[in-house]
Amino acid sequence: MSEIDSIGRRHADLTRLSFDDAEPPPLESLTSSRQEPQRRAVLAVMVGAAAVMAALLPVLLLSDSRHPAVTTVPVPSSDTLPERARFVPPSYPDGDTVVFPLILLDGSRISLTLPPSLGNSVTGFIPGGAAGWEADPCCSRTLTVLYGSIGDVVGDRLPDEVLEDAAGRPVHYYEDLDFEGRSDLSYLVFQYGSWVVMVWDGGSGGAFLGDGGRVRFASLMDGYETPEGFLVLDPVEPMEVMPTDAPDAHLTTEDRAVGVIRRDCSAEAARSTAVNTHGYTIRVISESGLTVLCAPDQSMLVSVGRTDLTVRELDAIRLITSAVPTSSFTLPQPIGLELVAVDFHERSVAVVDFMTGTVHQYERGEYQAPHDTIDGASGGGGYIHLWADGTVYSYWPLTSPPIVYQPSRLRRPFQAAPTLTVVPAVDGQYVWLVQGGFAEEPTLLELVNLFDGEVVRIMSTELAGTWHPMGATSEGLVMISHEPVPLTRLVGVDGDVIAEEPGLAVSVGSTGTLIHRPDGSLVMTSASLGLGSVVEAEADRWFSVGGPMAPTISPPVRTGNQRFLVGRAIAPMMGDEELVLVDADSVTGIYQFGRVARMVSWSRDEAWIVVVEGRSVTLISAEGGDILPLGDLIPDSHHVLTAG
Amino acid sequence: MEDRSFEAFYVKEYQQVLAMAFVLLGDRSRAEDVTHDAFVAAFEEWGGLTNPAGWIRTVAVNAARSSWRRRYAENRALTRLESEVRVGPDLPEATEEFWGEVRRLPRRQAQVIALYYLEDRPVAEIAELLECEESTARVHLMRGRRTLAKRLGVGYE
Repeated sequence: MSEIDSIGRRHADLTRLSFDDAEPPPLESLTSSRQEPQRRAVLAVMVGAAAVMAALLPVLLLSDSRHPAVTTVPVPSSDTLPERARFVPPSYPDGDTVVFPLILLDGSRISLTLPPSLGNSVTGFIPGGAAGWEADPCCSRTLTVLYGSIGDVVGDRLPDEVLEDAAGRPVHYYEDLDFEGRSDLSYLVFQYGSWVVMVWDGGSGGAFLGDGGRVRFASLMDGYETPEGFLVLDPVEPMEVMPTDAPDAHLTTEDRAVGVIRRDCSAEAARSTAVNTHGYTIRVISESGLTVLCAPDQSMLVSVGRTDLTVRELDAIRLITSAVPTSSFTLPQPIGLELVAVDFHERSVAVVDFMTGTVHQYERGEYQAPHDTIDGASGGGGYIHLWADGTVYSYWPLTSPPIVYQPSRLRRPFQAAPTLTVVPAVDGQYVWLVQGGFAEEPTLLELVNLFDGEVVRIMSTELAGTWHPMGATSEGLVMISHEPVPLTRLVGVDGDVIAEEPGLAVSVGSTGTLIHRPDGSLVMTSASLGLGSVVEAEADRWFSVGGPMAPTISPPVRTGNQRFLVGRAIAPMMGDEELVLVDADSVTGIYQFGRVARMVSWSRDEAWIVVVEGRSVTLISAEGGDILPLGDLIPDSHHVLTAG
Repeated sequence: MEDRSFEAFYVKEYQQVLAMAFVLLGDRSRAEDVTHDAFVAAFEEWGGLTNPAGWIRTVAVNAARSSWRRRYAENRALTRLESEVRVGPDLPEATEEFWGEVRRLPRRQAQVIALYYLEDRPVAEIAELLECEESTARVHLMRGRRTLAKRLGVGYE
């Protein structure tokens, strides 16, 4: 016996001895717990905890196989999830819920609505599926999909063979790869954007692709990362992306996985005892402790993990999966102040450039050019996506990084915080610096130095993924220094304080501090930088908006750069006054052009105006300027307008 | 003849489950909560359990993890307020230190180590309890032992 084993067993003996006198409570204390709601809740947490792993090892969830030809191998377990980079999908609030527009491996777009207890703690998204071809079941494989780079998986090991995928990209092949605690499997490894796709081969009892099968598998595979950051696989026929017994997508929290499974769930529905408001039948699977919800048409299952959710929380869950026809068009490169009016019925779009007064029109994806084009029209393409539930996502890729992250400017909101807020009064505060794609080390060091003596933590991650969980868990100041923010977050209306330093010129950007104190404690501060500053704003002067001593208006949309995600919930909260404060550093511009927007708005009653200004987007009904739910205007069909 | 009643099961297993929860949590009262809840769950599922001893350990081990996470922040706040917080039974200092190091291990490694030493279970059984491959449990055990040995400054081989 080794020394560590000897020590371990000795301490185990001593521990058991110390519990020898531990008397179990009376048996009645267990049985009486059944009548105590509070104990039942605790029980649910505990029983469900046993199922957390099961939820992440999805093979346990389902008993029937939709694709028996697919040879499966366990996907990475939750053990490994927290240690890897994670992709956190954009989300937006919708009333008391949080909506995640998701893209699955085969390109399907769905919208999953979760209660805030789940939605606000989501820290990762993992798509799932298989690929192969029906005619040759030997070569169909469950895919292991990870966020990151091949190097994250294999370290500095060189591939044993380099093949090519359908687009001629390199595909690495590793024999007997040391991965997830095993070293008896070989892998084809693809890299598509920020995603790694691993296809296993061999292993004890497994089927081999063989040399020919391996080459063919690689040569048929293709994929890409969407502008929103999701992975889509687009293989060449006869290869296709297939479902497996596992969920088609997982949203993960620190200790839970919410899975979406596209399959017939009539069996679960038949054994359910409850139905939520959206018609989803709810069943607790006693063997695994999982709670699953079956969609009203019984075509889709949502697993929400352990059984500790309240009735109210379960009531919020739903999934929208409408088929989404697509169309495409090209948008001019924005130059700062535009209005985009979208008629989703006619699949038509108008882009109004306020700098020149030019209007660009598109009918069913075709550019009509009824007016003069502007110089920027050929500058690049943009995207407007409409999700099944009415969420609009517009996006223009940056052609060059914005001129931001000047340490002297970044310092301003942090200097302002102690004077305009209650930061000094927060006990045990942390300073979180969330580093986006543009922050440079000298800048970060400057920021850290500002908080000498405080606990400073720097996270390099997608801001969207940290916004909710960090805001929810931080004990003190959360400082966010970022750029890409494909997320909108409605912060509390009461107690918000916005301290802004207006930008000096267009494209220079501005810094700002957003502090949310719903219960007197400080939750979040952000340094918001990007394009779209207001020329007219008075330079180098701090001002505050809201707070206990001033009318509080929460910025309903707060984004960075040119990524926007706006949910339906935004609309009812917006009026003229709020529109003014869509983003505090562009108050003047929004105010002025917001008025103009109504004057030149799309004339059809059904149309919506999408106001795109710098870093902010909003939806307004063209009908008298009222704010209406977008979904009400799209009764049957949905369209996605995609550039390119 | 073996008494297969829930009561007999409860009396027989209580101390071991409590000890298991304790070494994973480091807090007696929380371990008692977790143990209590595990037995409540077992009581409710009693008719359908084919391996109740294994089942309740699975539940307790996982619940201990959740409980720890949930109460971590709360505990830190409590620790700040109270200069001395009694969190466990009277164990020898070296034993406290040993389990403290176990709790510092990654979750799965800690669970495997606890089941391996405290319950003296073979790896195959541990794998079954933790719902993972035996090879995976073996790797967790190996890594956990190696890390423990290094931290405690003792031999591993």
